[in-house]
Amino acid sequence: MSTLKMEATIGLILLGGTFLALACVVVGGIALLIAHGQQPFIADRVPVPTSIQETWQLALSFSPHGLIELGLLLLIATQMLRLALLCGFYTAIHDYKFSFICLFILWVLIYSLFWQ
Amino acid sequence: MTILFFSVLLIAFSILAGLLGALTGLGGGIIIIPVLVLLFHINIHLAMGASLISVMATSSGTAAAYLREGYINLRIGLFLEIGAVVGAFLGALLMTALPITLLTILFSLVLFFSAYLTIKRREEQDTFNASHPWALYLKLDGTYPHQNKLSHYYVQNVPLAFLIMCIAGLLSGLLGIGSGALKVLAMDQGLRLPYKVATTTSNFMIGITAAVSAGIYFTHGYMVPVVDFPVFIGVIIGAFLGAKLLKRIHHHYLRILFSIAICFIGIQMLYNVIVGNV
Repeated sequence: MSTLKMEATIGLILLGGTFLALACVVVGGIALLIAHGQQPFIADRVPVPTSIQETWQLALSFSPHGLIELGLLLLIATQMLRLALLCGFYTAIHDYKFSFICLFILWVLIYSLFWQ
Repeated sequence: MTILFFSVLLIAFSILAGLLGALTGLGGGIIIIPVLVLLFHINIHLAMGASLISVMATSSGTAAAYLREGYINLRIGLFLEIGAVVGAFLGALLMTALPITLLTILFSLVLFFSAYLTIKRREEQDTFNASHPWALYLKLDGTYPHQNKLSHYYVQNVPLAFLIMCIAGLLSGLLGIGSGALKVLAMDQGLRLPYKVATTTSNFMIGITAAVSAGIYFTHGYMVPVVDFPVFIGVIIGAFLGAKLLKRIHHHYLRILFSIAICFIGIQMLYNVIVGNV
């Protein structure tokens, strides 16, 4: 696969992931506005799902909060995916310097999630 | 204020944030955070969570277009990201050992000086016809669309740019600032890249860095749907508009826009020092 084709493929996958995330957020947002749009806005922390399982269960029950959080999680996953795709691409074209760089960054990013 | 009215207002501000982020390579945080904190009186952690959403949305919203048009240099972005993540790690380790207030003041002064350097550079006058040896070894040179054709550029001063990126990572770990500003500066002032290549490559990479912090904010409950959904929708719209506009705007105007934006960040940082938030 040429670099140009790879870049176009990564771009399309990113766009797909972003639109999927956006679709969840838009549906959840509209549902939230229909249910609570006329209530006063309170600028404070509210209980929200903080795990993937919790978010998934809420989204499956079509809860507006669950759908929005699922969209946000998809957006985060899309960022990680781009690095994994690049790693795969550079390995496929035997550019091991850059596959190592991608792997290193991915490792540091994932490690920092647990380390912090 | 009702949730509906708040959402409409926030979508409007977020469109502006996405547009600015897409054009400057800074992400949308420089508008989102002050709007949420100063205008809507939202907790700073929730505002920072929303800012991370805006950075990822800008990055994802523009990546496909900028990759298709041939602006982004992925190899440079990845190479510099090593410096950023190593610096961020060191920053987190040194957090208690360094004088944060002094660093904040120094960094804001660096931003003002960088704004001056950014406006001062005239890339048309660059006459490079050879690349730095590291750039040749890592195959960092590239082409970009300019005046309806692909123009070649030669990458300079790779070690300097790498050092700037380490400092960028260190500062983002220490001061909690986005590293987009220094990423653009490392590519513009260090590697001497065409400005649009610098901003678009920065845009591509900041999404990856923001994802890590976003994961942490999510698990701590700082991603609040009622705040984040208008930000996501607005920023995506703004980012798409920005990606369309980039081709038509002369890089000199982008330099001015970027310089104003980083001066604004510098003023925000000095303000935080004065009011005792740092």
